[in-house]
Amino acid sequence: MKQNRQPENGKQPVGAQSPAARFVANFCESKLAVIGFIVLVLVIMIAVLAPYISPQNPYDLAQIDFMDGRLPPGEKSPDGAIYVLGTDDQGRDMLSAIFYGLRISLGVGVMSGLAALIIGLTVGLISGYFGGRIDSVIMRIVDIQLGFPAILIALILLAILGRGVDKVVIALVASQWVYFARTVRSSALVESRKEYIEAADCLALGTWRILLKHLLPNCLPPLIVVGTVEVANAIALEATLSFLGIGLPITEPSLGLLISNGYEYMLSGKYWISFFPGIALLITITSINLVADQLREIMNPRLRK
Amino acid sequence: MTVFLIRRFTQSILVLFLVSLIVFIGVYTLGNPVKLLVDPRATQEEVAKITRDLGLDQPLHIQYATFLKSALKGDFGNSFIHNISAIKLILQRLPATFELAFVAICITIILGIPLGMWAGLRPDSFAGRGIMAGSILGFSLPSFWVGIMLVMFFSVKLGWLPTMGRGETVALLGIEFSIFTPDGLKHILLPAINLSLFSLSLVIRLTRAGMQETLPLDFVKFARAKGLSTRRVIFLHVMKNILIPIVTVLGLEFGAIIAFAVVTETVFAWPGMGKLIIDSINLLDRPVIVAYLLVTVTIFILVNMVVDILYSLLDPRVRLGEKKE
Amino acid sequence: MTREESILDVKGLKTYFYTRDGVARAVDGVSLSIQPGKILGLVGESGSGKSVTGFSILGLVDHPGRITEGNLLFKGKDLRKLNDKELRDLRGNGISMIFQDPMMTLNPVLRIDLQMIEAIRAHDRSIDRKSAFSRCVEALQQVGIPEPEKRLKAYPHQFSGGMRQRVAIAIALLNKPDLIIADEPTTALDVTIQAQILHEVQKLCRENNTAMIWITHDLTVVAGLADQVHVMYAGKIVEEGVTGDVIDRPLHPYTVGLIDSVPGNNHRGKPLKQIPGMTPSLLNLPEGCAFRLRCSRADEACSKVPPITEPVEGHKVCCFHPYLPSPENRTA
Repeated sequence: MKQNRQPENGKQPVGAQSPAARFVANFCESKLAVIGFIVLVLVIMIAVLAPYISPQNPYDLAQIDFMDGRLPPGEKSPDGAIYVLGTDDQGRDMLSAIFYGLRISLGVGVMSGLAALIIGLTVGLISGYFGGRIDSVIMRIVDIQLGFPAILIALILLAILGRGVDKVVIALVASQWVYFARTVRSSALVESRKEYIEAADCLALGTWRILLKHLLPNCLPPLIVVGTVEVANAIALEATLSFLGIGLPITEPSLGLLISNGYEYMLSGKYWISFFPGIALLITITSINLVADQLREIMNPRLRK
Repeated sequence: MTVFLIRRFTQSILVLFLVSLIVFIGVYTLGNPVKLLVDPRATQEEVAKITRDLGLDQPLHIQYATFLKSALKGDFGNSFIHNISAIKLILQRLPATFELAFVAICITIILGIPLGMWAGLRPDSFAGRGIMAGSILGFSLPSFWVGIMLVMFFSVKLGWLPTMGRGETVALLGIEFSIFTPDGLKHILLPAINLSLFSLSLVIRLTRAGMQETLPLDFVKFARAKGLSTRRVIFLHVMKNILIPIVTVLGLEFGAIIAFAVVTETVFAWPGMGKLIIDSINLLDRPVIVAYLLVTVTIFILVNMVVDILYSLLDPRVRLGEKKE
Repeated sequence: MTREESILDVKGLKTYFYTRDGVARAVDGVSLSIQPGKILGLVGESGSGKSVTGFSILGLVDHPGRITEGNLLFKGKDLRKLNDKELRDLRGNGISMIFQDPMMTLNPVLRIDLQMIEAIRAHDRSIDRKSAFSRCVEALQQVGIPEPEKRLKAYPHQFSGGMRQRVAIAIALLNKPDLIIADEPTTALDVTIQAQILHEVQKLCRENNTAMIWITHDLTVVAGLADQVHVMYAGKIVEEGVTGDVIDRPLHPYTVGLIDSVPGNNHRGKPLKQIPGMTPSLLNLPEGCAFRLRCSRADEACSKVPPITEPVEGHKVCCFHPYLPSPENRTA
């Protein structure tokens, strides 16, 4: 049964062990997922608190010293500060740059993930609930788009739209909404054939009421899984596009841009400028994927042993 | 079968047409290449002349009609930057990308299927767990960063392999190949590994999941009960069942690899069409962008068609003509 | 019971499954023997270990299961001492097996002829494809499949369930084995087809002098088919004897319960009898007699493992309080 809901899903039937507690217990079955979750919380905290915990503000010109450029990790600056992860070509502390970059990468990833979720959810619900012609038209579009990898769709759009944060978000949303739409549509299709929806129909409840109050909660479990995975994908895709020079502008130095910036120095052995932002990116994506893997495991009753 | 092919073909034409329309409208309404082309100090008249020369003063639907007419003849106009036919430019770069994609898909098949089988046969062994952990990493690692790390480690640190370019090539049937020269092989190794990483992880997971799903089935036990060797049971009875989804995914992955070559080619300065498209996007070289997108979409459509046909050959239960909509 | 040379002798077979939640004693000390041309019925509820017994004989127990104890003598050879190669030679040649679900036993993506010919050539490489093919045609004819040459070129999904099971039986018979282990081969079929197949299998076994272990949960099938019956419960044989004896004069309370729950044995209008409770989990069996919690005759004595006794000649039982063949014992 679909008992494994997110804790914030609110009203649960009283009695028995609360589903939220069971959800937590199930989640903790995998040590790797718990580690992933803890790391993810840390990463999010770093991103949110970046201005307060960074050794310096890497984009405040008064705080950076050009003379400190390209110092290897652990090196001291003349005024005594230690650059744990070295500095980039401008003399920025890499650790601070990574903290700030994390902020931008996570922000863009979460933002486009959410927007894609909302669009995909709406389209998927409509498609699954109404069926018929609307459904076949929407699904044909989805199928065609799914035939192409996300990066190609993003590439096409960015080639058309140009650069900028808003444009990257649009490209990410456009390349990812289909995954949500497909997921929601298939569970909405299954749910809308169940008796309780028929019963709600017979009670002449309004369409929107049925969609939102009855259908939506039952489509949530798979949606949460896809949402988590897609945020990770969005972060990776944004980093890739930024690395290619067609993503974020240099005024928004995400992790991808930091890596791209360090690439030219790497050939001369100054590895840290691209290496450490990459590690940060890797940690972020891996921790999200670990959490998503375990969520998928506990929300798919078919896989549970 | 023929019915299927015809229906598929018309559908593909439709998709191509739609893509061309979207791309055309998008590319041609946004951004003005004239500004990039002319000297900033040029006069109004000079700008107007160039605009006229490029046909950019015409209304959109006329521009599109002109475009479509020549596109059907394989002419996408001249590259604004290189001043040669855009399609020629793409076709010049295509073999390099195909070569890279081909080697990458070979790596995927040669490594992915055996590793996935191993992990599926011994899921609890150290190797099995290691393979799976590796494949999760392969999914999580952004491919451009892996490329950078490969360069850093094997080229900069160890100095074993070259960092960029195709190396020495040899011409066969008028097309340059890297894989047939020792130097070219050295050059293609890192980019191909980099490019194959994602599909490799995917194939490993798929093969493993297929093994684990198929092995407990009765027909496997029945095959063993007939006295067949383990090798025959696994490589014929189990594999033929698993191969069906794998072939599908490999086909789709070939397309994805062509698209992802954009990233790898940028990292390794591989002179393929992916590198070309990035440069063209940055320089707003419209004809090349449009030609690239249409060529890529065509490749995708062809690959999908081949996959469908292979599918029907592998699975006796599928008959293409009767396929339901 | 005649002491004819038996083809298969199983003594004290134990097959345990080492799962994460503990050890499941799926087969816990099973002994049986079968003579050429005879049919032995192995009866029990699902989960009683009857299928695992069959797989153990062929060495086909999957991880995490393992044969931990016991002797398996087939024509005097100890099966547990065979290496992989020798075991393979035995499977499908000396002993073959038929499975429960005909929809699942044939490989869906391989043609029937391939699946039959490989069964022959796995044991005799010297047979060329052509003569192997004609042997397959014969085998299909034997099990009553019309137009065998044409059907051989087909894929499994082009057959009905009953036809597929006939193909599976034909494959099992291909190499004229000495013993066939049939694991509920008719359970998934319609009653009419079940009757046909039972009849044909019986006939084929008699003709070829093939011995057979027929695993089933259905006593009525065994009643008309088997020469001998072994009743299994929770990994142990609780009663064994000649079919007529076991069916007409059961000794073990479990067997009595099984027979009483066959609908035809009740008088019309009376409520159907049933065995109370559920089949216990193999991970969590009661001490002593595994049946005692569901048994109306159980008392303190039953918390010890009951001995195997032979109250009637050739009719053994594993119980402290069997229904001994005196009239007052049978309270219906």
